[in-house]
Amino acid sequence: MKSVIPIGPFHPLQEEPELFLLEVEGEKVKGIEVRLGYNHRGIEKLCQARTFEQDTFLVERICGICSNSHPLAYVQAVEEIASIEVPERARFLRAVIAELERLHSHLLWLGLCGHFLGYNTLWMWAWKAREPVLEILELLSGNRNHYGMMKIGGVRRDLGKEKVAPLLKVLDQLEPELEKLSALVLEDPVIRLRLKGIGVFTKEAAQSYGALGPTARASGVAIDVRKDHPYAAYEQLDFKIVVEEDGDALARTRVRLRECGQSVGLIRQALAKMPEGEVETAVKEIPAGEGIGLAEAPRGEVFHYVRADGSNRPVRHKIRPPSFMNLPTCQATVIGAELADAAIILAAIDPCYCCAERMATVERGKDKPRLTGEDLIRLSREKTARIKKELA
Amino acid sequence: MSERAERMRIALAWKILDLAEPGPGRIMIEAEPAHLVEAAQYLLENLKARFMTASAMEREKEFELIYHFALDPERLIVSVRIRLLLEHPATISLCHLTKAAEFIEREIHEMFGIQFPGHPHLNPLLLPEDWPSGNCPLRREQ
Repeated sequence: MKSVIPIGPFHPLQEEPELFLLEVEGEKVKGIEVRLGYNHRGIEKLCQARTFEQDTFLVERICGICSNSHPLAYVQAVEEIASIEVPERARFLRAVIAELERLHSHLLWLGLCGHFLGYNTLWMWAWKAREPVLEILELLSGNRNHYGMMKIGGVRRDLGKEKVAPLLKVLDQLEPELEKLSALVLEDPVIRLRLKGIGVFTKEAAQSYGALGPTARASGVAIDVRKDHPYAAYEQLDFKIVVEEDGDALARTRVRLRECGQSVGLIRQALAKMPEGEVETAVKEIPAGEGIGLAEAPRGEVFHYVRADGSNRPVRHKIRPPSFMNLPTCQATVIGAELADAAIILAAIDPCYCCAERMATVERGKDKPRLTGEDLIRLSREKTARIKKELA
Repeated sequence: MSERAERMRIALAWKILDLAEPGPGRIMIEAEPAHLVEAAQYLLENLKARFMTASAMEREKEFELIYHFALDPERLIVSVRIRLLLEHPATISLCHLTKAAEFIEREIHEMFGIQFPGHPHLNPLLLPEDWPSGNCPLRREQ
């Protein structure tokens, strides 16, 4: 007998509301349908009614986690239209903020991953490690999130000399924490069994779906906007694209953990190489034209297309966040999986999704909830407990 | 014109109306809607491009639809622009070439009312299920 399990759309833990309709037969997932739009705020339309300067603020509010990636991609699109040269120092500052954002976003994801698997200690540890990153962002920008740092022509605030030492101190303290977390996650036999071979996504599928960010890189697709279409100061920073070949949930976890370590190194490099000088250029007016801005958000490529007609506001502003491309991939990864693994597979693509507690199983035609969301997390945790027992 | 742009122009020849290089790492192609699929096929299959997304906008007398492709190893973004009439706008879906086109075509369909023959299911993606049909939020008169 087939049943449909709706996951979502609303949950306090969720960053974005989404609805996944899982069609299950027994314990196996047979089909999935994704529904979006619960959080559609018409921002593209709103952008057309505001000035170029105001839009920087508006697009920063698209997402609370990658709140820097959207304005970064947007200001680059406008800078392309107006051929604005961004000062060197501002380019490095953009990279510093972008990497701090990646650190806090990946650690947030790692904590949620632990929560889904029934490892609440990992959840607490990951979020404890994330806290100093948010605090240092507050020191640099004045805010723990929505930093308001990006600006057409540069950045809004310079990095004072007095702020470099606390930033370096946070990085020094974070490094051993990251090593500890990596060892905990990658060497624990139970977590390994829960993630290895789960939600496998082949390289061919990743390319066909146009998957982005860690979701693509864990399947052997070496794409990273920072390397492929360099922006900010990434051309001057030395790093390699993090790629894993296995394509399963473990590979996606490994990519994110390795990227955390890489981000620490990138911030150190940027601080060492950052020249003195201005952090913004004066912008007069935006001529008619069109521009594309790209940025590598923690979840993958953010795409902004801006069209100007010579007035002070865009006539079209198209925004394509990475989750828009990564969400359909669950059609390839969840179908055929066990129900107990569904939560972690959906979470492994990090689609701003953490809504497993808002589920209910509904038998077709009867509309009577049989399984609650808590049951699905319980199923996931029971599987972890079962593996623990088998290993003992 | 750079060598790679020239190569692309020769390969696409009569399938495109114009090819320009507006800036470093950008190529803008103008094409007739009838030749969109062939141009996309060339980019996706011959050049192994990655489908990024598509963006539509309404102008005074036409719709502009731009398909964006990335050639990551070449640090290049190729955009293909087609123009559609305001009355009954439609263009062949690219879903048979890449699964990545499925969501964005659904979004453009509900926001602008553009039809994509060949799409497996043009259900609403972002708007509620009870949204009045024919009301396209990104159209000018809305």
